[in-house]
Amino acid sequence: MLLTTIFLLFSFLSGDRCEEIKLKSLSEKAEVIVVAKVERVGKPLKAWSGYFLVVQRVRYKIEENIKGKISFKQINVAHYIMKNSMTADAEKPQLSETVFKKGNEIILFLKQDSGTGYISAENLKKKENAYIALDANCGAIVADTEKIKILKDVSKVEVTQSKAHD
Amino acid sequence: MNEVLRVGCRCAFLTSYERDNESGLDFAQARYYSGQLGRFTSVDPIFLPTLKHIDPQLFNLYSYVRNNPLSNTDSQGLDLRVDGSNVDRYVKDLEKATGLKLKYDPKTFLVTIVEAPKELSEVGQKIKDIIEAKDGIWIKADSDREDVIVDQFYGAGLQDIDYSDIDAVSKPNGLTPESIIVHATVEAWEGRKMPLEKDGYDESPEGPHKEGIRFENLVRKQQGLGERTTESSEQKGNKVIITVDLTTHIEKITVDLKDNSIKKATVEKKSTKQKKGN
Repeated sequence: MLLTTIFLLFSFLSGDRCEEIKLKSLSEKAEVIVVAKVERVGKPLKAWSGYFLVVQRVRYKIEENIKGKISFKQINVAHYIMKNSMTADAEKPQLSETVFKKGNEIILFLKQDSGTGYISAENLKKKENAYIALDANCGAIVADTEKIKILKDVSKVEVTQSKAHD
Repeated sequence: MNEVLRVGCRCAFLTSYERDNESGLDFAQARYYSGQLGRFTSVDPIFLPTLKHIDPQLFNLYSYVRNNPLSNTDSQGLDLRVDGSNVDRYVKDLEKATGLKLKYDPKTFLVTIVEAPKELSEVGQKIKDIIEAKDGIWIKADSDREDVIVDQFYGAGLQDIDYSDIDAVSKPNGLTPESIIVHATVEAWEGRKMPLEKDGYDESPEGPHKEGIRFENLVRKQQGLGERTTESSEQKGNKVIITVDLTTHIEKITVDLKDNSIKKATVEKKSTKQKKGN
């Protein structure tokens, strides 16, 4: 029984694609990491990325800032619409309606969005609070306390290392 | 047997789930993670589109391969496969872009090299490497695809091309079929281990896309054309106007959102300011 439980636990933990090692890697690359609440999901373009990179925008309310300075309460984030990715719907070329549901808390790994290099169904009105999610799988993940703790620990290490270099 | 299935047909990506420990685990991982996002009970997102790709002909091929192991093909490591209604055009465009003389086998869907010039361009070498590599990619060259604007990136080595869109955007000095299909092929290749791979590119289409553009531009250079730099878009009612910025001029492509068909592609001169920006 114990062995079965350990096996199942191991299978589950190793089965998480956004496990600690991936989170650490993303956290190093991300300019900004936040926990944010979905406020509005923009229109999809109804096409997958390919010859043109396709994004769908989501407006979030910032709940917690884990890495990087962010002076906005709300941000607009462009998410790549990539077939087979975990942020996209399994069939329709759009973001998953389960993940990006109004009120859901999401951990976001972001970089600043210049507004070019992709196509979208909505125009970018303000560049200041516009970001793009780094990764179509783990760049936006439903927030849970364990993942937030991992990220905070990683960020602390990064800050310490950065101070040591200074 | 697994290697035979892997090189055998596009549905090998499905079959490998059961047979291949490495990729099988990754597929399973995707399902676990999806579960955490509330999608655990849904069909695996990787399998579904793959299944949708498989037409009866491919199922026949699947049987064919299983009954007649392609051990010779596998040992040669030839692995660029193409299907769809525009295979001949795809192969011809690839030949024009690379200088390679290619052969297509409709039974196995394999593209092989008949003859390669002594001195290959970087593009020619890249496509040769793709054809001769053991990792497989599968291109579907079709027309009138409503879910595709020019071409579609799946990851896992799958890529769809819509030749109706290519025809709509292609013009002398503008976007060219040869450069577009090289973009699509390289993009498929660069994304072949996504979303299964943990390392390498971030799991976004951006990395493969940039490499696709790099090789697209090498073809354009061979053709004496300006390079593609970036793109942006704006929506106007039921239309999206895509601006493709080239070093020589700007292409404006109008996509009808009702069916994602390209209605118009026009060329605009760049202002002096825009030229300086490049």
